[in-house]
Amino acid sequence: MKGTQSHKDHSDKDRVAELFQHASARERPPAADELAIRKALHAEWSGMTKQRRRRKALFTLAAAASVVLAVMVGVNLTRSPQPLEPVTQVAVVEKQRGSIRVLPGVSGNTQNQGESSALMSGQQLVTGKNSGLALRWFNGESIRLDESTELRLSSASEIHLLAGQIYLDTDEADTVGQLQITTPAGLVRHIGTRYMTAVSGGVTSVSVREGQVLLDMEGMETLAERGDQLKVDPAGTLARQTIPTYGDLWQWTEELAPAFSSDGRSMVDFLDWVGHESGRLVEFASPAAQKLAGETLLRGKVDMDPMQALTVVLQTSDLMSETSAGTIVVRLRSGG
Amino acid sequence: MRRNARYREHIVLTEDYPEIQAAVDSFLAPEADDPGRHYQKYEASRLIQVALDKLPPKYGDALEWKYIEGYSVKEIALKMDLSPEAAQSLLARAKRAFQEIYSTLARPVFEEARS
Repeated sequence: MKGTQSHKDHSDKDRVAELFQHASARERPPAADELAIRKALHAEWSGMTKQRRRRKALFTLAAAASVVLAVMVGVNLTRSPQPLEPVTQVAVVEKQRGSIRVLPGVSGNTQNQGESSALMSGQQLVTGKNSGLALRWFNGESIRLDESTELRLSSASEIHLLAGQIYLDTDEADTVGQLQITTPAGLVRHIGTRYMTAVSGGVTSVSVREGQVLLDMEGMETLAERGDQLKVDPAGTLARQTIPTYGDLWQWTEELAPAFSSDGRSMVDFLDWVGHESGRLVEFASPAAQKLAGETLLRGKVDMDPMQALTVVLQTSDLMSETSAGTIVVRLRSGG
Repeated sequence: MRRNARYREHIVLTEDYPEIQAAVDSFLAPEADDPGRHYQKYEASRLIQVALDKLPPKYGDALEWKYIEGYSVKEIALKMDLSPEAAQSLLARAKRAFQEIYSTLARPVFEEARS
């Protein structure tokens, strides 16, 4: 028996030693932070090893599978991701302001965004104060992150929102309905739409600007439509209210709107873009105003907040606008 | 009969931490263009540090000193103000703990390859 034990130790030692041949020494955090970090990590280790022991004791395949699942969930909530899908590029950065951090998923060390515009599954994004980020998902959807937002690009079909708020616009997507957002309250799925999902202080909210969104709370699905806002508190209580599809709530999404490429496009196309991005309805005061907008061709690139862009671009034409609540009325400068 | 028993136990051990064996195998495998294999190798290496970070501080330090920085048990004992026997014992416990945590962390990486 002793001989068996010796064989066992030798075998283990070799494997662990071989494993460590491919590791380098860890970087040390500042001394002041080290104690706190270690306490937190040790607590996690204790939980994980307890779960493993329990799995051994149960000694059945079914029990083992459930414990593995529990461990995986625990790891996923507290650590960098261990994606089950192959690492793939899921998005590119389209626009950014302020400081953005990309935390290591599986493809590298922490980096400041700007070093690469390609984002991979497994990576975690963190926007700082007064920062924001606009992404183009691989299928064409526009995804925008407000300041102080943290999310994980879990896979090509899932974003895990940890804190802050994000906005989705599927208008230019070639496939719709595949991307879902995981929140503390449940899964958020959409059916061709523009909407915002936010997680703050344990409260999850879904605000719909256009189209339809499904909130799936452990199998209980709630549909939200244009102008609806769903809020789920930490106790799981769901509340619904009506919100405007324009104004302050959406302002940050407008600041991160992708630039409008105007070359060869008409003023009508531009006004459509302004209406789309600002959540407002565009109306013409007269057929003459509509005709002129259709005949006016634009050149260049408009890269600013849509309502600012409206003022600037219309100044180059014989058109002007008046904004009233959710409506933009376009008329001739000469009247009509 | 005794040889058979030993052989069986060895197999059981390998089964007990298949992720560690899989990680070592991934390092020994020739370079391949397969992104999946490259990813496994990368993760296998990265998770060593993650696992060390998750261990109790003394365990992580002792393993790092022994296996990465090459200190002897005697030197580790001096650094930790322990007797050589106590240091050896601590290293054995640290190694077992490391195997536990590393296997748990690496399981999704290698499970995906098996599926």
